[in-house]
Amino acid sequence: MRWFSRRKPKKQIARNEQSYSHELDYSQNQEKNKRIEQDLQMNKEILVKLLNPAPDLIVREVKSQPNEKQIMLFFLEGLVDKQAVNNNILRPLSNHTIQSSDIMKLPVTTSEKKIGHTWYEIHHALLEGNTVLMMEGQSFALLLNTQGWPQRQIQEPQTEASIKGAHQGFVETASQNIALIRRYIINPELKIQQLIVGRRGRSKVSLVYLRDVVNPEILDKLTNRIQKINVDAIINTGELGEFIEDNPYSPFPQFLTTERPDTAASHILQGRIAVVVDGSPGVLIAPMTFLSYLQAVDDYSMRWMVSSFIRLLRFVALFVAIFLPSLYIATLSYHYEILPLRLLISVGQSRAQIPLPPIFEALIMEVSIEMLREAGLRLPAPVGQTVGIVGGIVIGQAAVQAGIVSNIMVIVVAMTAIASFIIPNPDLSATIRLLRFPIMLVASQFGLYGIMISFMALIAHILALESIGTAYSSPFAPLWLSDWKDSIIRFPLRNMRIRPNSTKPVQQKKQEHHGGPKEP
Amino acid sequence: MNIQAVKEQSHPKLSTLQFIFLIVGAQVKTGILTLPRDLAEVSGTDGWISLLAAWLISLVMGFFIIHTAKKHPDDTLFDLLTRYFGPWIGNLFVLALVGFSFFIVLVVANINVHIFLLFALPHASNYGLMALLLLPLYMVLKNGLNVAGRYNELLFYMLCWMPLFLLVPLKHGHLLNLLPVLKDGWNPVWHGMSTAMFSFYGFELAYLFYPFLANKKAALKGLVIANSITLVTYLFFTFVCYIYFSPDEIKEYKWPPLIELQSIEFSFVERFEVVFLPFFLMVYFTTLIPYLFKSVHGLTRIFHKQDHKPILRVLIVCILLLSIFYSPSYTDLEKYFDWWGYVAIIICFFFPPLFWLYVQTVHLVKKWRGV
Repeated sequence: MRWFSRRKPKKQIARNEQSYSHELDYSQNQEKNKRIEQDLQMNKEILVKLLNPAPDLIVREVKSQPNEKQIMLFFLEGLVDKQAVNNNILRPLSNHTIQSSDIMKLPVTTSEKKIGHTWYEIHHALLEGNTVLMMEGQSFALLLNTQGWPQRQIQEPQTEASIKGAHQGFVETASQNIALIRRYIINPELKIQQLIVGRRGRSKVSLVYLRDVVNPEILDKLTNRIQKINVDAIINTGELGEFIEDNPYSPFPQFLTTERPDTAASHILQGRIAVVVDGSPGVLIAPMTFLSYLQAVDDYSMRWMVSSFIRLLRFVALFVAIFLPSLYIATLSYHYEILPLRLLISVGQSRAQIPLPPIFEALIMEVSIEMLREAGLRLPAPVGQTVGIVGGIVIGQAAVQAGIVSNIMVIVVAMTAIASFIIPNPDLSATIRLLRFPIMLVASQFGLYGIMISFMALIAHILALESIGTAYSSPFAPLWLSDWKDSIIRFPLRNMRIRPNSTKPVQQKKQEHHGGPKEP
Repeated sequence: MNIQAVKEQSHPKLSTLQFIFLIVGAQVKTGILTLPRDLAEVSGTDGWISLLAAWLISLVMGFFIIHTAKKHPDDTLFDLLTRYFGPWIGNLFVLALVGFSFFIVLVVANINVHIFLLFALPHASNYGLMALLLLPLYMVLKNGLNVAGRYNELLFYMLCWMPLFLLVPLKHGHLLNLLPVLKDGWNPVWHGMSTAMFSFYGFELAYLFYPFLANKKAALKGLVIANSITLVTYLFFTFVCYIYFSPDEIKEYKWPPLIELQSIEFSFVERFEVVFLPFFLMVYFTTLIPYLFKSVHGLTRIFHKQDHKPILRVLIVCILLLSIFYSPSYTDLEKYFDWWGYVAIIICFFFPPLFWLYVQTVHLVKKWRGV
C-alpha cells in the first residue's frame, strides 16, 4: 500500500474509504501497534466494529467464580473446534476455585497459549481460528489455539493411485500434510521452514527438506523466489508453481505436484525440496528433471525387470503420443512411397471414400477425442461412462461408416489417446496432448522433415530448460552415467548407492554397498 | 554472487565431452555423403589412406592451436587476434573469420534444404524449409554455448547408432574391391589429400572453444579424440561404400551412402533412405551450431555487446531473407564448397603454425628485452 500511495496519492484515499469502514488502518504502522484497552466493554465494541459485519463472531461472557471478574471469549464459529472450547476453556473456567486476578493463571488447558497486545495480533488470531480471551482490567489478551475447521478424511488420491504403495493422500491442512511426510522420514535432519505468502490470503507455505542432503544454493534460490511473490493470495500449489518457475513460456511442467506422501518423502530423500501449501492437497517438489515425470512410486516396489520394462513402455508411449498422428499425416501426404505396396493398398482402400485430406481427418479425430476426455472429466461417474460409450461408438463405428474418417485414422487416434494416458504424470500428459497439434500442422506442410525439426526443437527446448537452476534434461544432456541407474531402466535397488546428481546433493551416498543375500 | 553470475554467463564452462562433440559436430558435415565418391574419383580405392594422412596433419595443426591458445587461457581467438595484431588489423581478421564462418553456415543450410527438396519434398518451398531449419537453431543458440554443447553431445549419442544401418546391405558387397592396396603407387593418395583434408576442417574451432573449456589440461587430449572420432566416422562411410560399390560404379552417384540405403527393404518400410534422411538433419545441425556460434560470438566482440541475442536474431533473419531471394542450384553449391576448401586451407593449414611461430617470437623478443 505504501509504495502505491507514493506514486498515486489521490487514489489511495479513495480506496481507503471504500475498503476500510472501521477506524483502524493496518497499513499505517502506528495503527498496527495500537494496543487494546483495559475496559472490557469498550474492547468488545471495538472488536465487533472491527469485524463488522461478521455474523459468525461469537462473544461469550463468563464470570470468573471466586472474585467475580468479568471474562470475555471471542471466536469465529466454524473456524474453532467447539469441543475444544467447551472442554479446555469454558469448563475449567467455570469449575475453578482459586482466587486470582492474573490472566496468566487462569486454568485454561489448550495446548498453546499466546499473548496478544495489539488489535492487529488479535484480529489475525481470530481469523486463524484462535479463541481470544480478555479479562477485565488487563491490557493484553490470551490467544488460545482451538483451531478446528471442516476437514476431509485422508483418502487415496484419484489421479495417482498406486497398486502396491500406500493408500494415503495429502489433505488440505498443511500441518497434517507435514505430519504425513514426517511419518516416512523420522530423522532430526528433516527441517521445515515456514513462509507466509500473499498479502490477503496469508497462506502458510512450508519448505520440507533434509538439511544435510539438500543443496543450500537451491534451497536459497527457492526461498528467495517464494519470498518475492507479491500477490493477494495463493489458493493452490499450481499457482505457487507458476510464480516461482524458471521459464513461464514453456509448455513443460517444471515442478512435480503430488498428492502422495510417499512420493514426496522419496523425493526429499533424493535431495529435493517439498513445498507444502496450506489449503491445497498438492505438494510441490523441486527441482525436477524431465525424466522423473515418467517415473511412478510403484516402480520401486515391483521387480526391477518389470518396472524397467514399464518405464521403457512409457518412453515408447511418450513418442507415440507426440508423433504418431503427425507420422500418419506425413506418410500419407508426402512419403507414401515408404509404405510397402500391400500396406499402401489397404490404406488406400480405407481412405478411398474419404473426401478430407489427412490433416483434417486427423484434426477432427484428435479434437473430438480431446472433447470427449474433457467432457467425461467433470461429469459424475455414471454420466461420464455414458459419454465414453457414446463417443466410442460414434467415433469408432459411425464416423468410419459415414466415410468421414478412415479405419487407420481411428486406430491412430486410439493408440495416441491410450499412449497419452500411460504417462504417469497428468501435467506432462496434458503437455504432450497439446504439443501434438502444432507438430501435426507442421507435418502436414513439411512431412517427415517437419516432424524431425519439431523433434529437434523440442530437444533444444528441453535442454535449455532449468528447474531452480538445475538442468532439466539431466541425466542425458549433462551426461551423468551414475544417474542412468534410475532413468529409463531401473537397476536393482542395491545398486543405487548414490543420490541423483541432478539435485546436486551435499551428501551423495545414500546406502552402503549391499553385498547381496549370500551368507558368509 | 551477482558478479559471479554475470561472469559465468559470459564465460560458460564446457565439459571436455562437450568440447569434443562440438568439434566432431563441426567436422562431420555434409561431406559424409559425398566423400566416398569424391575420394574414389581422385584416388580410387586408396582414398582411405589419404584420410589417415589428413588425420595426422590435423593432429599436428591441433597441437599448434592448443599451444597458441595456452598462452592466454581466457582469450578466444578474437581476443588473441586483437591482442597480437592491434585493434585495426585484428578486427579486420576477426571480421574475415566471422564472414567465413557465416558463409559456411549459409552453404551448409542451403545444401541441407537442397537435399531435402531433391529427395523427400519436391513441392515444398525452399524458404519454408529454411525457416523451419532456423527455428531449433535459434532456440539452441539463444541460450549460449553451454546449451549448444549439450545439444551437440546429445545429438551425437542419438546419431552414433545410425551408420550401423549401412552394414545391412553389405552382404551384397565384395571385400576384394579394396584390393590391391596402393595399386597405382602413392600418387592417387597424394591427389586425394585436399578432398580428405576437407573432412577434417572444423578443428580450427578449438581456438574458439579453448577459453570456455573447464578442464584446460584435457584440451589436447580432447582434440585428439575429436579428430579420431571424425576419422573413424569417415573411414566407416568410405569403407562401406567401397565394399558395396565397385570402383567404377561409385563414381556414378552423387550420394553413394543414400543410394546404398535404397537397397534396404523391410516388410513394413520401403525406400528406407527417405526415413533415414530426416535423421541426417542432425548432422547438419551439429555443423551449423558451432559455426553460427562462431559468427555470433565474433560479431558480439566487434560491437562490444554484452547480449548476443540481437546479433543472433539479425543473422537468422539474414539467412532467411537470403533464402527467399536466392536459392542456389547444386552446381552453385559445389562451387561454394570449392571456395570453402580454398579459404579453409589458409585458415587451417597456414594460419595455426604461422600464428604459433609469431606468438612464440613475440614472447621470445619480450623475454629477451626484459632480460
